[in-house]
Amino acid sequence: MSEPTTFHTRAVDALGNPQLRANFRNAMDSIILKRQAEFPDADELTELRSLCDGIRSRALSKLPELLEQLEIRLIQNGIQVHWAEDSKSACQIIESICAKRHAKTMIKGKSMVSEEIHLNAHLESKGLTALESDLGEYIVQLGGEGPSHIIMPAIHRNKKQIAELFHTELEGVNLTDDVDELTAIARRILRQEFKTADVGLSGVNFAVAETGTLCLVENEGNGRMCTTIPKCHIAITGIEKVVENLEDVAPLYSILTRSATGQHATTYFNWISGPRKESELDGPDEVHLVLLDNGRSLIHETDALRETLKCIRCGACMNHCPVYTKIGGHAYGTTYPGPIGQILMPQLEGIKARGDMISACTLNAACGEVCPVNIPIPALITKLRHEAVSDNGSVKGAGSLKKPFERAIWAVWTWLYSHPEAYRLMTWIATRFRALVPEVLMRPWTTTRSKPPIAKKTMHELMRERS
Amino acid sequence: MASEVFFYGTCLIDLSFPEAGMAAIKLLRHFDFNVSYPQQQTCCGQPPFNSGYQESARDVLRPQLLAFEGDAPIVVPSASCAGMLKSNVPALFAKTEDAKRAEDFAGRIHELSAFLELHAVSLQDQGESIAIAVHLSCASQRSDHSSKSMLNLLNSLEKVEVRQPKRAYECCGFGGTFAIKQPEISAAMALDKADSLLELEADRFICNDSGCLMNLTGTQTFQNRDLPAQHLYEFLWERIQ
Repeated sequence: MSEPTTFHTRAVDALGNPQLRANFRNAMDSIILKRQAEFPDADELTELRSLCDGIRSRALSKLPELLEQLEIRLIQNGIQVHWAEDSKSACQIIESICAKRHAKTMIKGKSMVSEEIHLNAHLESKGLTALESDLGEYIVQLGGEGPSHIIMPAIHRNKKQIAELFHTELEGVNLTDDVDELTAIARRILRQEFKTADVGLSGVNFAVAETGTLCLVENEGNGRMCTTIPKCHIAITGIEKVVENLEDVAPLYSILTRSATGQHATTYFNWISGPRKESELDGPDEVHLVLLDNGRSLIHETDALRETLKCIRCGACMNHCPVYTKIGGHAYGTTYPGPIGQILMPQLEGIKARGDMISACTLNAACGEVCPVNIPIPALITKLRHEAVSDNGSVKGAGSLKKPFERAIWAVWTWLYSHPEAYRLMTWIATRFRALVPEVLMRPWTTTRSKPPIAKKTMHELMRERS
Repeated sequence: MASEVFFYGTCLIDLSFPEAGMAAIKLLRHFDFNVSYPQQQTCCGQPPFNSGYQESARDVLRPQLLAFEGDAPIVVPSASCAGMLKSNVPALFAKTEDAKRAEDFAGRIHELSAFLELHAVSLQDQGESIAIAVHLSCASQRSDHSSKSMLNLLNSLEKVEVRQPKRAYECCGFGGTFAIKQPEISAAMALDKADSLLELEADRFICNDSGCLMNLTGTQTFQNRDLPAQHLYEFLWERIQ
């Protein structure tokens, strides 16, 4: 999708919106504390992280075999498997499943992969309706927006703003900012849709190769409704979500919910193992799994960046990112915002298209510190910055951020700082003429700060005088 | 017998805060270290490295690897630069002819507070009662964890009351070239941090990394706020006089 604005303009817009900033600040403050409370023992956390890191790394190291095994087990379980190379083919696969069943309406559980492939827009263009049933997703769909956070899609709105949205967008709804009432309104509407929808769609948190089981983590019960009430259930996931064994799931689930929402456990955990069996009362007649590549194989092939795929989509990196907290998720203009978005999106869509946001990181490493599977996010951002200006990079769009002016500045800088005599002369001159450097030359630093101090004598000089 | 150490001053201290570097050297000498300061030192290479220019970082570091050859520990009064030199230098020079030299160099890097704590120094506070607002850099909190040593040193000073701002974990928005490439986001972060430090109503603002110090004092001054600022090592030296 083409973006009419740039990361920079969207970020500046967001910074100028005090309500938006307050909404993010308050939400992130609270989620940081909740997560902290779930990990009182630092050693336990370290141990669990390295266990989960190991599980994800092991799964990625044998990804092709595990995917083959997963397919075999899924088919044995009666689940139909579809491979989608890119967004377009994933959308077409889902569209054709719907067409075969003459389905017109879809009810959706939360799925970031469905956002990634822009499924709703595709289905609507084909005359189908797709309704989000996760409360946050329902809110952003009503508002005609995308999610601003991968776990809490409507976190950019406070309850007053949601009240106004419900009042203007839903027929016969009075203005109320009572959260229980708002939830009840959404539940009432969605309940009808669950009953009548032709197809249910969901994401997948973990796909277990050993047993062909799809795991779905959720809090609202809408995931269970989407996957059990409609006669057809379509699950969609990225190929990297596979894990080897059933026993891998427990630690991953534990660290996921605690990292994501600061919950010891979620309200619902769904193990989906196939369509309704003859003896069973409930469940869909058909279950499909769409396995999406969309650039993931390429990431998998690049050793230096493969760790990106360990991600279990908890969102802790964005919750702790001081840049994300300031500008919110929409400023990134991508399906996945924040630190994970900064390493994932340029790889999925290319540095030319998505490289502008990799400079929006101070390398403060708060993200890496909380990542439940030890993804070295700051190091990967540095690596992508290198790819962005490199002549022989391996990522799509490598070298596309090369700018002659910037290169020239670094060339001069490098020459000065790698020739100590020249460096000492330069700093000597700077100290002697420090008052003469006009403020305007130091912008944008001096747009919001006083001039950086320059001493009367450098430390090199002071040390020479002493000896 | 006094043991030998190298001092890696860092480029920001060299040009902007030499008094902090001189104080750090006095501290080391006070605790009986023989300090040498190679004139060939320039910058740890972080600005180009963090911007993606690895070759530039290598070019800048290469002559310095030679300047610090020997067995003596290399003491750095900045967690950010120490982190760069310790963690990134070996990988930068891996598979080059300087690989061994780079590993040896990185293995001898110590942030000053961590180094002082390692040698179990004790500080005798000679100053008047004072409350300080402290900002500890992200690198010191998350890269080498030297912030713990810094707090221990500060807390060991009898008449110093250490106050840390709310969200002490949060970055001040400096980030090197980030401040230039994303000036609006950087400014918003700096102002937030400056506000929370001012709220502490301390007598003085103390900071352990020159980048954050420059960013935060620059912001306070621009906002016409009067909060005297000092680099951690200048403050520590002053207290034991």
